[in-house]
Amino acid sequence: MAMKLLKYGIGIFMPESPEGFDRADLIPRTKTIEIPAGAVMRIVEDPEGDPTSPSGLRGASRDVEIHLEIGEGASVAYVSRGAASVEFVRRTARLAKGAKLEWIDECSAPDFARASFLTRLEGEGAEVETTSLLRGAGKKRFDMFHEIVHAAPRTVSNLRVGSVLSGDAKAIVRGLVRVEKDAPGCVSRQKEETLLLSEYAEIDAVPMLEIENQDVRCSHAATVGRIDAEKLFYLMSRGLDRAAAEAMLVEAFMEPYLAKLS
Amino acid sequence: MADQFRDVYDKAAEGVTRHTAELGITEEVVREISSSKNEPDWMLELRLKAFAMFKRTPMPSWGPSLAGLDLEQITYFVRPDAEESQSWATVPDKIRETFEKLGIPEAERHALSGVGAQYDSEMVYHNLKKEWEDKGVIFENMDVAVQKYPELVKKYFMTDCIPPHDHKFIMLHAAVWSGGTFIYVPKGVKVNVPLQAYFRMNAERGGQFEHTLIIADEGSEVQYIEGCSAPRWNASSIHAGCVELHVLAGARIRYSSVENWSKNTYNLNTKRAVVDKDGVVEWINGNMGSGVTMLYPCSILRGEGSQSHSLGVAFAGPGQNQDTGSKVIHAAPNTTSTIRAKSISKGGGTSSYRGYVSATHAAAGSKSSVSCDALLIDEGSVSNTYPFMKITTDKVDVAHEATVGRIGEEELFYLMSRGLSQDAAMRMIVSGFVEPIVKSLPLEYAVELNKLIELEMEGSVG
Repeated sequence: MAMKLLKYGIGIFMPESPEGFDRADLIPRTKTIEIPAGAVMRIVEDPEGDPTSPSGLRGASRDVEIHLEIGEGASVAYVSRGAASVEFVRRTARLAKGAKLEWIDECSAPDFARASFLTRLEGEGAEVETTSLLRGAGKKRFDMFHEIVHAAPRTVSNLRVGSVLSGDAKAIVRGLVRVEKDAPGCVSRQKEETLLLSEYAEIDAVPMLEIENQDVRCSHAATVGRIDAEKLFYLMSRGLDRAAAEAMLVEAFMEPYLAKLS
Repeated sequence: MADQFRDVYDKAAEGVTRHTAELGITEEVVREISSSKNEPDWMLELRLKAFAMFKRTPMPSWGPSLAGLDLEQITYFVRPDAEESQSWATVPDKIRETFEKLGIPEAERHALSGVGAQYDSEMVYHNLKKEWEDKGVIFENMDVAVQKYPELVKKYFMTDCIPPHDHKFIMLHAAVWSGGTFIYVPKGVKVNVPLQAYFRMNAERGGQFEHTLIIADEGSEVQYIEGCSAPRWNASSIHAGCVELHVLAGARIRYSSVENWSKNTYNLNTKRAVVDKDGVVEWINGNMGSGVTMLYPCSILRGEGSQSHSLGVAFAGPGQNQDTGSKVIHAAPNTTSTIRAKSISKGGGTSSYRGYVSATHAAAGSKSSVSCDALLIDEGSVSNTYPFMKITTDKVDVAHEATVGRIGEEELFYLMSRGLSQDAAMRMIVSGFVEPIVKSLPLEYAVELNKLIELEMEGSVG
């Protein structure tokens, strides 16, 4: 595996950008993006768009940290796709009152990825929604961590992580939702679902909750399984061969994640 | 009323100990325990080896804080002033009084097939109905079993279920264990009424290290219930028991326990079952008392088609930290596990579910389902959930779900509109919440658990 360290950035594209964010920007290894109050935007992380590397980041590694400071009432969708061979990525966000954030991530780095998303809901009524897809084949290793801290009243979080692992791929997926003492009225949902497609694929699923306030509604669920034999049987009885039927079911599993990405 | 009931558990009996080892643990203490029991060499060796490991093993770096536990300030061996007795009447009055308060003889009168009672480090009373004795069932004090059934004990005592090097407190346990229960059920024998033991830690700064070893031979069935309590002292005490269940092919063990140690006890207990082909183990656990509990009953499903079912309820009141959960290792094909855990936190108490489910390559066709529910009664209470699922094969189905919430206002309103006071309504909701666990306990224990929960819930409403 090539361990070439590149000095590069990430292109950001914002279709509806407020003043000051009107062109593609390059991010150094650590970057704080301040999003003004009331702004509505979609930020797309595009590592392949690095102008100094025409072939994108194949065979490269990257180590980046991105922080979003989201102002009152702003609404942000942040789309990311890991693409370097080896990735260490830390994305953090702090949300002010009434702000909304959507993390949309597809972690498909071909060799190794350690990624974390840390969100602090610091203003009343702030909301975060996370849709995170891990796809791995071959000898891929993932270490994914999602942490959401409810530090203000009536904040809402919804975390959904889907993993599709085949070959020898191994993943550890941790999710932590923390509701602090002074944050009543919070609602949180956490869902981790995993599809194992081969005998040697492995998952460690660790959905965690730390609740210090009684006035909450929190739930989490995690499932690990294989392709549903009944569904497979149904599709094959309709004339699909096994490979096509399996592919269709895997696609169906990923659909809610991929729909967000596009 | 509540205080009186609490008193039953919290009050210490005076003047009943005959022999107390010195504070702290040294090799001499370990040798003294062993020689006072006339143990065979192999047991002394096991103790000394474990003690050497204990000395060089650091305290665990995870979970609740054990900072208040001073292992040098614990008495590791306390022998009560009584020899083991087969008849209740010959047990010394003070000890009998305590157990009568706790309801032991009553339980026996209610036709439990065997009863053992342990006071501090040693067993003071045990009895097994003749009917079962005739069928070859052994229900014996663990100390006696070492002498009487050396082959069985040597084969199963801290071997492939819980080895002495497992973790720091098991090393300590192996070094200083005393008393406990030994049960052997021969092939095909089905004991259809439960066997019971009660453990009571009476001495201040005491430690209780009872060892429970249950072997259900092929095709047999047995139910075992234990209750635990300790009086309240100013100094902390420790309970580091060890429960080993051997479920042989086609056998079934149901193990139930209601632990109600006083609130300055560190309850660092280890329970594990190894389950062979088509065997079934059922765990039913109620954790009420103690200051800090770290208890994660574990099932190793190593035989094809074996099963583990566990039900647990933990109640964390003011100053308590209940860190409990279940572990299952699926190591054979077509194994099944279910875990159902409930916790209640109140008055600033912390309850955590810390669980582990793993399915290895050998576990094709296995299924596991885990569900955890937590109820937070008031402000300042904490509930944590830390499940860990390690799945290394695609031929399994594993599901985990958890919810955390408070008592619903609508439910409360409904009950109060029917004429219940707020206090009574809350108690009723809590009773309903723990019902699935309570109903799988035998009557006396269900009553005890319900009473304890009611007691803990008293005064929940401003």
